[in-house]
Amino acid sequence: MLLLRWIFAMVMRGRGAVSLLVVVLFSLWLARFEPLQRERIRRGLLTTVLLPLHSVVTAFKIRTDMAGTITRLEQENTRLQVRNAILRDMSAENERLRQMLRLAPRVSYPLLAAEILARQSVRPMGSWVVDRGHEAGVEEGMAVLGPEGVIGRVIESGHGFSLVQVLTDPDCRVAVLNLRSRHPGTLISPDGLRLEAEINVNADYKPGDTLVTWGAGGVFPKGLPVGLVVTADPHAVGVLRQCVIKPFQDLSQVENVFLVMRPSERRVGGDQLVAHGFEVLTTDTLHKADSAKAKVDSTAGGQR
Amino acid sequence: MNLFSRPIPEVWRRVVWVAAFFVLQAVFAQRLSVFGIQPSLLRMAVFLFAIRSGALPAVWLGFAVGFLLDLYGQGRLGCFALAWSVSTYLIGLLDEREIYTSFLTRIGLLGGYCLLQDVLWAWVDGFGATRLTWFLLYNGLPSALYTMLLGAGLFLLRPTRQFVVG
Repeated sequence: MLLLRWIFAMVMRGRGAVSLLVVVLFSLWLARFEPLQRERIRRGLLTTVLLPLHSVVTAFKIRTDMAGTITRLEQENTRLQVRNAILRDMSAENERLRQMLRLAPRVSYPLLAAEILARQSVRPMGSWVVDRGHEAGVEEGMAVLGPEGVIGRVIESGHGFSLVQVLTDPDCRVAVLNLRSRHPGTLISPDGLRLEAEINVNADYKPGDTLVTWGAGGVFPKGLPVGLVVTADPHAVGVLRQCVIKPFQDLSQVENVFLVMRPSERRVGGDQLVAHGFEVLTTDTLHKADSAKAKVDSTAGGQR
Repeated sequence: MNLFSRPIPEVWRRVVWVAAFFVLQAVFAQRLSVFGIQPSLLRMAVFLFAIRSGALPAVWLGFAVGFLLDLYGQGRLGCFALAWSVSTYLIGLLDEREIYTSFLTRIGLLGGYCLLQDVLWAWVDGFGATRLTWFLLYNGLPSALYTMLLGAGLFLLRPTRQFVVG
């Protein structure tokens, strides 16, 4: 009895050390368990005694993991929306290009696809800038087509860009032909908005007639769709009459165009004139004429 | 006297703090990971508990936390329990009510506490000398340094208590 009391007194004096001894021995005993027994103990304790703590830890973990997942999904959603918008735009562009290709068989020259970069702010329907220039073989005077019909012509070609004069430019003139009556006319835009055809007083133009390019002048290939006659004014002004034309191509909806890669020798007048014995004024011939004139001038100055 | 009207003993309040740090360790430690090295928020909390409460509460809390880690881990049972109880007991011997430890000493002790735990755990788990060296170099030491860095902030928030002897 005395021994027991002594032991108890010693234990109480060194409670810390005794506790340490107990937990060390218990830990070493635990370390001897086989894997199967370990799993059984783990599962048993985590699903009973330690369940409240386990639940709190799990709930916190799920919540923080979900917050991370939501942020990641939101970022991915934004990225996919942007990608979706790009793909939709590409799909629409693809559709436009497909429509434009329907015109390709009517033109015997190579076509060059171009994108509209800008429209002039002062005259939005006057001239446009496209993304192809002389490095791609674009030259002044080349015809420009849209998916539904004629749009205009190139009036200036720079490096990486070209300026296109559209049909509604008041300075633009296009020779057209009435498909039904085969009577010609000239397409103009008096106010930069409407399109009209100036025709001979005797020309047979009726509402609903289809107009195509005539091909005169060599800029536009013959037979390209231009528009429909809406009204034909019966009153003549001098020797001309006016017809209101609705173009096939809505100029406000164009994003991509085709440039007709017409060979440079087919300038105004074209090879039909050459065949008739006329000399066509191309850049080369103008240069030759200038140099010849300079030579004559210098000779005359020397004689004086 | 009503049981619930009595003030909660200081030691239990600290146990609640340690439990909170246990949850923090389980939930947020991974977010503080730098190059795969995680700090041990739990070690910081248990260290502070031990140095404030003395050896007896320290050894039991160390055992409880170590045993919990054993249950949550996949390795041999008792490894963490032994490592945590022994190392926390040793820190508890430096009870701040009896021994004054400066700010820098505490940070150094925290580093030693982390390394001692790793060594004890590896020893009980049966690590060889080479494996233990590599483990300490690549994991134990960087983690201890990271924990010391965060511990410095904790010790600034909870400075050493000054007791008047006499």
